[in-house]
Amino acid sequence: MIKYPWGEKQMSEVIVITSGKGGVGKTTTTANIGAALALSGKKVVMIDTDIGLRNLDVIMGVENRIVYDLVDVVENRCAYNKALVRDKRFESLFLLPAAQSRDKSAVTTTQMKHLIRQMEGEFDYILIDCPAGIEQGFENAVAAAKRAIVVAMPEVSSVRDADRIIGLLEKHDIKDIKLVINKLRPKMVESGSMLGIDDMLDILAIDLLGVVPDDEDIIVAANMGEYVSNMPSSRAGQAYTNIASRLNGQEVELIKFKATFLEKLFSTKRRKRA
Amino acid sequence: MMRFFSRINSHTVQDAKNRLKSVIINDRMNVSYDMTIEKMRKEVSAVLEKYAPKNAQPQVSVTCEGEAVCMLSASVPLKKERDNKR
Repeated sequence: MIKYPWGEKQMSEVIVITSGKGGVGKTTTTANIGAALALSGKKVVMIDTDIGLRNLDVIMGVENRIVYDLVDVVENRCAYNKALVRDKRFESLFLLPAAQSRDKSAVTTTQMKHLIRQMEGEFDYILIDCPAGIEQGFENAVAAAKRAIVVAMPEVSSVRDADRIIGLLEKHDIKDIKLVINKLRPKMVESGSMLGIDDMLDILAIDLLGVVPDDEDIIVAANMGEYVSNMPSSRAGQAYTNIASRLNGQEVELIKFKATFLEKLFSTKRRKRA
Repeated sequence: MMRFFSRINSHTVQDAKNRLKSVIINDRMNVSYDMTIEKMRKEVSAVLEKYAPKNAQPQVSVTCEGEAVCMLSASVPLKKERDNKR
């Protein structure tokens, strides 16, 4: 709780979603966790800090409703609540979009900290979508975060970058770091062609928040500006809903991803061939 | 065709994991050049500036300060800095 002269405010959970490597699904993860949290009744704001390469607006399907952006807010051209875009489906889900015509140096870590301080107490969750890389964009995204979600794919390059990012997050004194394994292919894990959950946890040595399977629904949903977490039939959607529940403090078991009979048959053939 | 498949499958997840582990161990041991080595070099330069005789070779002076300092200062362009100041 934050104590103000006019009363008390509930502290917001300020979480940065990062990965180091590009293309692992940070923005999709941010959008879907945000939607799942909003679906559970939480008030959520997602901040896109990928200045110059914003995409969270497209994933959410609100790209035509942006008037002001993050740079307008930090340069005091408007109040932050004027720049927020409310989601079409969830009343308690908001986006603070990044500027598209500027670069990462347009915002400083001090400005980010000031912005988050202003927002704190107004939302249950402040999700910060971090850009790829470890330069100014990363510094801005982690500046005010108290917790971090590292998104990694079961690939050597992604795991290596995730390890580097975990080191940098620790340097920034962020101690609560959780892992989301994205784009897991159970068939490939079973056939011994892809790193499994245990392999990744063994290397990265941080707590697991969730596992999202590689799912075509994610691409279909992104094309439509929809969330898979709002699609009950989607396996990835279920995984994101579970992640949101775990963030809310609930104990939810991991989904057991199993290869189908045909997939198993195929993977056995490959093993025999080897 | 057989050669193609055997090349793909001969590399197991365990191989990938081992390779990844060695890469990560190496990454973790590598200190950031600009943040650590450069800072230490500046410290070494400051010590030398203070205690070493003006015409001394950097390596000779540094040996007095200890082994680690000596190793780090091997590539410090001290002589050039000193020449500029004179």
